[in-house]
Amino acid sequence: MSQIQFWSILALTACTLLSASAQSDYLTYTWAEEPSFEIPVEYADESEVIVMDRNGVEFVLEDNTFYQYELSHIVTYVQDDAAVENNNKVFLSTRQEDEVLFQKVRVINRQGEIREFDESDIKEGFDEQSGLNYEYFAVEGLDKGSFVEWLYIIKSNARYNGSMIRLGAFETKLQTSFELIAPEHLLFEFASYNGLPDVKLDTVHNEKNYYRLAVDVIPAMENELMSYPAANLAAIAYKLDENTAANSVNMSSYKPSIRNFYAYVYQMLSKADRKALSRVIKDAGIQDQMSDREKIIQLENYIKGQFAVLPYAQAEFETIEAVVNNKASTDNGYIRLYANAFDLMGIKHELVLTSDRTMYAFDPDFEAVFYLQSAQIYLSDLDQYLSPESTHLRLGYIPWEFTDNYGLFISRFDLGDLSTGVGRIDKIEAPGHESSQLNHGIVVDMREDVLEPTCHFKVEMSGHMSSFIQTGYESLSTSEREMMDFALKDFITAQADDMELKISNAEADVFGRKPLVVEATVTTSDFTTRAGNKVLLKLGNLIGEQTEMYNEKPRTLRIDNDFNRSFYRTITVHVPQDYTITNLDQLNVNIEMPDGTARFFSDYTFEENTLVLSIDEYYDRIQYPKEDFEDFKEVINEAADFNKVVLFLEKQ
Amino acid sequence: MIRQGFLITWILLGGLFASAQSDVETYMRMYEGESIVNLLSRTVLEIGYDNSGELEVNLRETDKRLYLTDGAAQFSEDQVSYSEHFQLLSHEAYALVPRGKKQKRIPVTEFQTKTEFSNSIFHDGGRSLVFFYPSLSKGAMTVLEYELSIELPQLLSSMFIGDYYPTHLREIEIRTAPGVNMEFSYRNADGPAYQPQVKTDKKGNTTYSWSFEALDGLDFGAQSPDFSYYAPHIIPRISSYSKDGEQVRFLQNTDDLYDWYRSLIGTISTETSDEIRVIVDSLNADATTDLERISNIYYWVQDNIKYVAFTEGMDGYIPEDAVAVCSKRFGDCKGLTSLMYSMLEYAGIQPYFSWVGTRDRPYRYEEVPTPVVDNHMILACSLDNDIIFLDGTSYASHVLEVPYALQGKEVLVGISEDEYRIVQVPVRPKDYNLYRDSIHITVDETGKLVGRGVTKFTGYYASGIRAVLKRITGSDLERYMESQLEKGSNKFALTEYSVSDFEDHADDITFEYRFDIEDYLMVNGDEMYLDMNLVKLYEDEMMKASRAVDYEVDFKSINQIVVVLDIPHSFEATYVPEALSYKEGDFGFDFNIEQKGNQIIQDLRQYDNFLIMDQSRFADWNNMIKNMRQIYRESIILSKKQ
Repeated sequence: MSQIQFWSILALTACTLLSASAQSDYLTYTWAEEPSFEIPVEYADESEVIVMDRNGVEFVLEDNTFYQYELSHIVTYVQDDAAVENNNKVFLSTRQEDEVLFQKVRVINRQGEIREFDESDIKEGFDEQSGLNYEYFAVEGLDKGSFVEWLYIIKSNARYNGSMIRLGAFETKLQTSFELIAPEHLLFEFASYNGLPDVKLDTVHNEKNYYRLAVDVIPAMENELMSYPAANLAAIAYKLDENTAANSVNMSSYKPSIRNFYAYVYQMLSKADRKALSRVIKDAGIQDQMSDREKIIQLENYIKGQFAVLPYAQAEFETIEAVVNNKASTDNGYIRLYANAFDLMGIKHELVLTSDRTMYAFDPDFEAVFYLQSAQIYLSDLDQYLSPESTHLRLGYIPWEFTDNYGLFISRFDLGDLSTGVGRIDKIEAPGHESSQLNHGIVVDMREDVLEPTCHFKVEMSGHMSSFIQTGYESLSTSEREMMDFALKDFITAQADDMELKISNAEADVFGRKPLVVEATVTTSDFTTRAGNKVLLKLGNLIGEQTEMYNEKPRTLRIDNDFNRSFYRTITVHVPQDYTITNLDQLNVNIEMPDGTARFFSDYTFEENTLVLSIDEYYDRIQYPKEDFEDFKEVINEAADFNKVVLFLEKQ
Repeated sequence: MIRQGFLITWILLGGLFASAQSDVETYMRMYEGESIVNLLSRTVLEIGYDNSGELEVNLRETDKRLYLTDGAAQFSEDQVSYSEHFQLLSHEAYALVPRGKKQKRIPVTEFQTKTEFSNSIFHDGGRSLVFFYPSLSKGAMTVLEYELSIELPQLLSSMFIGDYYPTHLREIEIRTAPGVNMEFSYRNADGPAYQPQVKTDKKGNTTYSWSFEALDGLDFGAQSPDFSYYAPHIIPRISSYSKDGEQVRFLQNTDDLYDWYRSLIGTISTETSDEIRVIVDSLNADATTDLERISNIYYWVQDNIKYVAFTEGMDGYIPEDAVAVCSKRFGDCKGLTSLMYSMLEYAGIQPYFSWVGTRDRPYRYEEVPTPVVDNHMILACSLDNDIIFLDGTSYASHVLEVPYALQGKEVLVGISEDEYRIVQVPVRPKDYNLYRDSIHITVDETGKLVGRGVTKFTGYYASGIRAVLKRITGSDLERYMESQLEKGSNKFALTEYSVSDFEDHADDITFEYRFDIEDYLMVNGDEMYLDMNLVKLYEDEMMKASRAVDYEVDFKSINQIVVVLDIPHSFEATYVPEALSYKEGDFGFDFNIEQKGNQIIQDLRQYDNFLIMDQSRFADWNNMIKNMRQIYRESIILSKKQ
C-alpha cells in the first residue's frame, strides 16, 4: 500500500499552533568526544546487542511552519561475523520532502580506536515510485568486538497526529529511551504497548515540555510458532492532543481524516468519472433485476478479472475515469471505483480503515492516523466485507491481517442537500472456521493388491485455503498450469508423480461460493510398508504432515492464528477379506480447548472389512493468551500425531 | 552517429501495427494457451566512430508483445535497466489496445526512476526506469523501444535467440562503420541458420543480420544450469577498427582481452601499509612453509574482510588498492584479491591477478575472448611449482579448495605485463565430498527409540557447513542443528550435540549427537516393527515428467547412511529385508543389511558422479529413486523370544 499517498489524503486540516519561535535542542546535539561503551558480561555472547538507543522528536514552530526534528542515536555492539555483516552497511530512507540535517557514524574497535566515517562516502539513491530517498554507506573498519555508533537528525514537516516508534527489537536493547519535546502550550498524549511503562511529562524548561521514558533492558524478541513477533515488540505511540493557547482539545481525533477521506472517495467526481462509472456497471453485465449480492459479485468479478492493481501511487491512474480507461490503478483508485459504483446502484456500504494486526493491532482507545493503513468496504446489509485491492479474494473475504482487529468505519451522513462522512470504531470480526476449509475424502482400496492399493483422493479447499489457486488458475498459461498441477499433486502426495488430476471450480468467479476440488486416483505402494508378511498401512501419511509443536520452549508470546479454519476428513479403507486390522483402538480421539474453540475429534466404524474413519478438526478463535498455550498445543499435536498413525494388517 | 536504422524500425513496426485486430486474432489462434507472445524482439547494435575517431557503440532494443489472457493487466509493470556503463539515451513505451476492429495507441506518459539495490551488490550506480502500460487486456499489445550507449566497446553483451515466452519474430542487426571488423561466437547456435547475412554498402558500412521466426518459449527450472547453457545465442565482439588510417586490434583473441584487463589493473597500487605489514608479520611469525604462510593470510582475509560490492564508475572493473581494502575491512572480489596480492607478495610468495567465470558462464577463453567469458576475480599464487587459487569472497573455503561454483572453469592467470596462462580449475571427484551419518540406535525400556550418531562432512559439504557455523550462534545454532539432524519423524528430539572445531579449517567437520524419537517404534502384541530408514535420502527427488531442462548439482558427492540397531534382549529379528543395488552410469547406490550377533547393520551408500545431468538420463535417475523407495518401504520385525 502506498502509505505516503494514503496519508496525504487523510492529511490534517490546518490548525493554529501559536508559538514563540524557538530553536530545536537537537541542533546542538552531538555524541561524546571520547566515547566509552561497555558490554555487560551477561550479554557478551550475543551476536549483536544494542547498548544504547536514544530516540527523540522535537516539535518546533519556525517562520509560521510547524516542523519536527527527529533524533536517532544508536550504539550497537557487534560480537561475531554475522553481526559485522549486519552492521557494515548503513541505510537511511526518508521521504522525499524530508531533510537529513546530518548523519554520522563511527566505529570504536576492541582496542578503543575510533574511526569516523567520511561524509563523502555517503551515496544517495532514490525511488520515485515509493517517494523515498536513501542515504547509504558501507561502514569502514568494522571488526568483531567493535561498537558502531550511528547518529542522525531529520527535519521534516511536523507529523503530530499520530506516530508509532518501536523500541523493542530482535536484539537485546539496553539503555533505551524516548523523548518528546514540544512548546509548552502543546500537550501530547501517549500510549505504551507490550510491556513498556508510560511516557511521562518529565520537565518543563525554557517554555518547552519534555516528555520522557527510559528503560534499562528490553529483552530480544524471539520467533515463536503461531505468533506475530513484530506486533509484540515494545512500542509507544504519540500524538498532539491539546493546544492550551488556543483552547483546542482532542486535536488528533479521527474527525478530519473521516472528512477528508470521505471527500476524496465520493466528492471529487468529474462528469467523465460519472460516465466511466456507468460504463463499468454496464460492461460488468449488471442488470436491474439482480439482487444486491448478485450485483456486487458481478461487479467484483468483472473488475478483478480484467483490471490490474499497481503497487505504487500514481495520481494520474486514480480518477475513476483513469481506472476504467487504463484497467489499472492503485488501491486508492479502486476504493473510489467500488464505493461510487455501489452508491450508483444504491447498495449500502461503509468504508473501513484499519491496520495490519501482524504489524500492530488497531488500538480502539487511541485515535492516531498511523492505524489507518488500508481501506476495505463493509456491506452492511449483507454483513460482509469486500477488499478492493485484493485480486485473489472476493466478497466475504478480506486479507486476514485486517480481521479480528478494530477499524474506523466511515459512512454517509446527509444534511439536507449536503452529505459528509461520519465515523465509528468497531471490530472487524474474523469469519468463522467454516469459511476456510481443507477437506479430504480418501478411499483406499486394498482388495486387489494389499501392498499396492488404489487410492482415490478428493481434496476440497475453500476460503483462505484456496484463494490464490482458485482465483489465479484461469489466467495461467498452459505451461504455468502444468506447474500448478504438479504442485497440487505434490500436495496430495509427494511421491506419486504419474497420477491423473481432475480440478474443478478453479474459476475466480465461484471463489467463496464453491470449493476448489482436486481429485486424483493413483495405484501406489507409497502408503504401505512391508514387514515380513505383515502389511503396515501408513494411514496418517494420506493426509500429509501437519503443523506440530512437539519441542516448544516455554511460551512467551500470545497465540495468534492467521484465520479460522476447519479440516473435515473421511478415510475409507477396503481391506481384503482374508485380512484383519489389529490396532483400530487408537482411532478414537477427542481433544478440545476448554472453551470449545478448537477441536480434534476422530471416530470410526469397521464393518464388512471396510474401515470408515472420520476426523473433524477446527480452529475457531484467532487469539489466545499465552496461558492457554498448553491446551492449544495439545490440539495441534493431536493432529500432528495422527500423521504417524499406522494400521497393522494381518492375514487371518 | 547513424540514425537511419531508427527510421527503418519505425517503418517496419508501422507495417506490423497497421495490421490491427484481424491479425491479432490470427496470432491468438497460433499461440493459444500462452499468456504472452513476443511478436517482435529486435536488437540493433550500431558501431561507429565519435568525433575524435574513437569507437562509439549504441544498442537499440525493440520489444513488441501480445497478451493472450484475461487479466493481461497483471503484466502492466515493466522496466528498463541502465547504468553508467550503459547509459540510457532514449526510451518510448506504449500500449496498443483493441477498440472494435481497430487498435488505439496509448502512450506511457509517466516514467519513474529508481536506484537499484541488491543483496550481492550494495552499490554499483545501477538505475532502472519503471513504468506501467495502460489498459492492458486480452488482445492488447505493448511496444517498448529504448536506446543505450555502451560506454566501453568491450562490453557487448550476448544476443539471445529465444525467451521464456514464445517469440514470433526475432531480429538482430549489427551495423558497423568502415574499418570496424567483427567476430562472433555462437553457443547452441550451430549451422547455417545462425550465419548472418552480410551486406556492405558503397561507403563501406557493413550490416550483419539474423532473423528467426516462430521460436518456442524456453523453459527454466529449479536446479537447472544457467540459461546460457541451453539457449541459443550469439556473442559479438569487435576484433579491430581503424584509427588514423591504421587498423587497430581490439578483441581479436585472448591476448587482446588480457591486454585490456592488464591495462585496468595497471593503475592500481599493490603497495603495503604499516597495518598490512604488521598483520602479515604477526600471522606468519611461526610459519615455516609457504603453504602455512598462504593459509594464514587467506584465512585472516576470510575472517576479517567482508565482501561488500560498493563500486562506482570504473571501480566495477578496476580493483581497489590493498591499503584501502585492509583499512576499510571490506571489498568486492577485486578488492579482496588486491589485498591478498599485497599480503602474499610481502610474505615472499608470488601472486597473480586472475580472472574467471563462474559455472553459469559456460565459455572458454579461446571461444569467447570478451568480458562475457568471466564475471569474477580471484588470486592465483605459486606453491611448490604448482598454482593454487584463492577466492577472497568465499569465507569458509579450505585454502586448497576453489569454490564449487568455479569447478571445471578456466582461469586467466596474469603472469606479467604480457604473459598470461590459462589454467583449468579441477572438478573435485565424488570421493572428495562425503556426507556420512552413522547412527546407533536402541530401544529403551519404555519402547522409545534412543540413539547417538556421528555425522561427517568432507570437501564442499564441509565448506558449506563451515560457512553456516561461522555465522550462527545461540538459539539459531540449536535450531540449525535440530533441522540438520532431524530424522525418523518430527517427534525427533535432539538431546545433546557437539561440533568439531571448524575454525581450524580441518578437512572435515563432524557432529556428534544423541537423540530420542517417541512413538517411532510400532508395537503390535509380541511384535515390534521398526523402519530403520531414519534418513530417507532422495525420497522426493524424482524428476518431474514436465521438466524440460537439464539438472545441475553443486558438486559430485557420496552420501552414506549407516544404521546399527541393538536388538533388545528378549527379542529376536524375525524379518530383515534384502540387500539392493542400482548403478547406472553417473549415479547409483548400494544398500546392504545384515544381522551380526545381536545387531542389525544397514548401510546405504549413494553417489552422484555428475555436475549436469541431461534430460536423457532422467528415466534412469527416476529408476534409482524408485529402487531407493523400495528400501524405504521395508520395516524389520522384532519378535519376543518364545
